[in-house]
Amino acid sequence: MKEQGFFQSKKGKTVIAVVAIALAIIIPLMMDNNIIFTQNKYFYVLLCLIGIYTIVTSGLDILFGYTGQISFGHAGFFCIGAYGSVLLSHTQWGLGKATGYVLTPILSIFIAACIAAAVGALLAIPASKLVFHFLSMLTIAFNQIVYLIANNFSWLTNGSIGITSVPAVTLFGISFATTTSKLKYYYLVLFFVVVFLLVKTHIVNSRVGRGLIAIRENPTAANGCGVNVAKYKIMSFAISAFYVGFAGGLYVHMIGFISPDTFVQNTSVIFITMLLFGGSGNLVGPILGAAVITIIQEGLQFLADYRMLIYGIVLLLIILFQPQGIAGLGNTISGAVSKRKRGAANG
Amino acid sequence: MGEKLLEVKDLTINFSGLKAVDTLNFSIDKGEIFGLIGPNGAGKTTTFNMISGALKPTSGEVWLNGQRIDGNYMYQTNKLGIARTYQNINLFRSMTVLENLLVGQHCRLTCGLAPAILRTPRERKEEAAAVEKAKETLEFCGLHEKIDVYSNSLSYGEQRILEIARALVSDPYLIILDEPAAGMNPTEKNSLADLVQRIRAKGVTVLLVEHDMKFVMGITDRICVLNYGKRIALGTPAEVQANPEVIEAYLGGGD
Repeated sequence: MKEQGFFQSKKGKTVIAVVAIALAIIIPLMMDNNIIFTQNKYFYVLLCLIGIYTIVTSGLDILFGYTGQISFGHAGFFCIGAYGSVLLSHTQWGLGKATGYVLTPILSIFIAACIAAAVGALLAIPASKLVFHFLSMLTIAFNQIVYLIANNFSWLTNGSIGITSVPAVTLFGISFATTTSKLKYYYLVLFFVVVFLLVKTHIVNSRVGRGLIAIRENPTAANGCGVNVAKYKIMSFAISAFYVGFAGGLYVHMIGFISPDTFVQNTSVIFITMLLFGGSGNLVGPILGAAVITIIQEGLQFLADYRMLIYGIVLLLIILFQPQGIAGLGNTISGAVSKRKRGAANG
Repeated sequence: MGEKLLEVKDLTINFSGLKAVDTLNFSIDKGEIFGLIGPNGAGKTTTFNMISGALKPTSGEVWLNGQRIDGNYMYQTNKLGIARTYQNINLFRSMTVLENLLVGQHCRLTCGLAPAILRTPRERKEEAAAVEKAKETLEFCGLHEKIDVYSNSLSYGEQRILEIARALVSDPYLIILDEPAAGMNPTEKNSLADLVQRIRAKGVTVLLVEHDMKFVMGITDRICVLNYGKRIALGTPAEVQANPEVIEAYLGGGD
């Protein structure tokens, strides 16, 4: 039976969500006066990164957790969103260089995310016919192609040197330049996190979302129930790519600099690690995964390339011992406790 | 009898040289319970797969309500009014009984991505109606007490009934049942027979494959017998049982 406690009910979940959002708004404000965090505002950068990776991981979750399709190439979409937004908003590159006109950064992020979604849909046309392991290879190849384009098309992207002075986001006359206030940018990111999570909840609890889950559960039966499997897989890829592309845009306008190195295949592996670590197929898992892995990643900076080794080990342990991720830890513990209780009762 | 609902004309399929179904002809009238029987490997499930759109026939035609449907995909056939169950149970295992029935209505619901994201009043109304419809269907099939149970924790017999409910909830003209009684105990078989009769009484035509002869003979109006992909008999249960070719196919001829 489904558990029917208060926190499982619709009302309870809404209460938790509201409290979480309130805390996410208030706590950084209090930190603003804290001596440790005011010295350099790196704390806010970390929070922004967690928010951005939450959007990425949630997008990946729609594809992997709900539709059951793997992607080891989502850094490719992150790259398209990031470069796309830079090339649409930068005065010396891309659109600005060619025409002299540029788009305001939020609009450029949105359009770049749409481009990522379109590319995702195109990629999904062949991908929708592939099963798990071939799909992994296809998405790895996709990531590689995007990376190579970013690295080698110097006339467009300035190659491996990258592009500096990426314009800051300005909305309704308010500047979200991270050089002046990182806290403001954090609230911008938080706003989009809430929007994207809300949209995700709406999608997965609708007719469309049920179609996606049905594909994960049983493609044959889904087809027999009237779900156009190929179309829904393409849709899932496109939605997922939109999320990740948008996050890529938010990322680059925060950092203010872009170079191809950010979008190597390892980044895709980190995205998957975040999702598996947090737990896929639910709302909370991607948030937890993004937060914990981002913090670990920053904490392990000194290990440089050995970090990938740590991720490998973390991933292995999670898959072996906690396949539901840390979001499923509550279930696992309560399961173990009730098992022990039963054991005691029998003994 | 009455109007023809489904017509199968010269249906043939080749699996690399092997004719699994060979120029098969039959038609099903509206409101009929029609059985398809035959020894193992006779091509019954293959025929089902061609009618429902899981397989494309090599040649021949399938017509539903005067519309040609062979070569359609399953999701298209489902929308046109054919719903089916499977020989090996194909449920959405980690979904609840209710959710399975909501997916079952997929082809009858219309809201796409945008209404879902915006939660428009139309979308909410449609979803609420879908839940009501699912509840009615579960009541009809006798599974309403299990509405919030995950489908993988149902008993085997209940899973078979859930598959029928999931097919029925899409309001089909024709429901195709692939070995619905397999693995059921006698009590469950009796209530299944009752359910099939009630489904017909609702106005849904039934096509079924079943190995349990007592079950088939008891509930069908007409039976088509297949052997090696060919039709060897067609008629009422009594006619079919008296047919020497059928007896030979089942018991083996002594030449």
